[in-house]
Amino acid sequence: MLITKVEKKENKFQSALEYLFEYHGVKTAMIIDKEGLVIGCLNRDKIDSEKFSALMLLILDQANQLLTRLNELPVYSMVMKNDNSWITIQRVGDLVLVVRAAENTDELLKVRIGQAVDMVNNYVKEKYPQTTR
Amino acid sequence: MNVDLTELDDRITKCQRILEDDPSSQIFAALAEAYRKRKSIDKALDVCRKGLEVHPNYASAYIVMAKIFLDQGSYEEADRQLRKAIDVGGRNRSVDVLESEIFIKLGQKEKARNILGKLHKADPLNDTVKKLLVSLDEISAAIEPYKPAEPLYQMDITRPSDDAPRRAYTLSNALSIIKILPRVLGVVAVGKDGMILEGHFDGMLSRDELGALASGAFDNITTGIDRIKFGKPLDVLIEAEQSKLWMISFDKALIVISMRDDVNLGSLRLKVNEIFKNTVMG
Repeated sequence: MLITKVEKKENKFQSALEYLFEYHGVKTAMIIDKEGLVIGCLNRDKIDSEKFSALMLLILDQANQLLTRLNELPVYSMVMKNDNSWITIQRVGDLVLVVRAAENTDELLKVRIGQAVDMVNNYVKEKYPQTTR
Repeated sequence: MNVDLTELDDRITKCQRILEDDPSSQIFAALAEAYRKRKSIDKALDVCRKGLEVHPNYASAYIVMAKIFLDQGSYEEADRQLRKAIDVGGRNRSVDVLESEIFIKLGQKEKARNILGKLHKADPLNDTVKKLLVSLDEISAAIEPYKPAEPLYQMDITRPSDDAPRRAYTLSNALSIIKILPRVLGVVAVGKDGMILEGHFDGMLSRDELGALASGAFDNITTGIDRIKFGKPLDVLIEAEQSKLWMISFDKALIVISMRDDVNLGSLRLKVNEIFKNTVMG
């Protein structure tokens, strides 16, 4: 499907995902809401995005339960690594940004994730000012 | 630093006043100790010697003498003064700690290890004892030939050059070193059977609770993530507003490290990787 320039500019979620997805080593970039609904997803592998998003929220929930027992506030960010890839789950207000990357992806991806978080945050503030007041 | 010096000066003034009012007072030992801490070694020695002429059976003064000689690098004399303290006053915890320090300096590391082992067993959270144990291990590793240890988990970090000194740590030592790293709140090792192997945690939970909760969460994350064919996670980092929790999976144990939010994660990661690269599970 072709996205016109105007449409692309207006869809800042998509812009944030593309900004991440163009980085070398990134396999999946996804934005989901707090109920697990996929708001946007770019994927290089055959991953079921609905299933993936549900699992990411489950994992986030596990971590939140642990932090609650430690008298902490909810998870801000979470990184899981194994031999061949790493997954970052980043809370952005009521949304969650998920990035899956190959193990050899350089650490500067974290900077890009930070920038993408700002893009999403700014867009949410601009588009839904009443929810962020 | 300025505050400490001011406090010391204040203490010196007060002790001097008491000693002027009553030259036979035992306050001389406290005055000598304050001078020692103020790095006025000659004054400390002078005050303590004069005081001991009046109170030859005052054990605390011999302990101060031992500390003065330890600071001076006169380890044999420090040992002699400590023997006098033990003769007249017997043993207590601070005497044992000081004795182990002197043994370390004298190169009698087995004697030091023996004392520190008992002290650590009696009070596993004592930082002074832990630091002495760590320094003892470092001295041992620097002197003894290195025995290659099977790494728990091969980390992707720059390897030290071949001629750099290498150390083999026990799990207990590794955790003690990590615990005293800046902004680390606690570290716990959990066995694959869920049993707590070792650990220290200063938070509102006990180390057992932290270990059990973290390993439970790690297992659930592993189960969940397996459903998307991610494979078993080796490393999970959770960041919250005030703290961070890092879980590292090895063949034989899960290591859980609790940190303050302002920790230098890159530096900590390098140090932890380096420590565990040379750690063997006891």
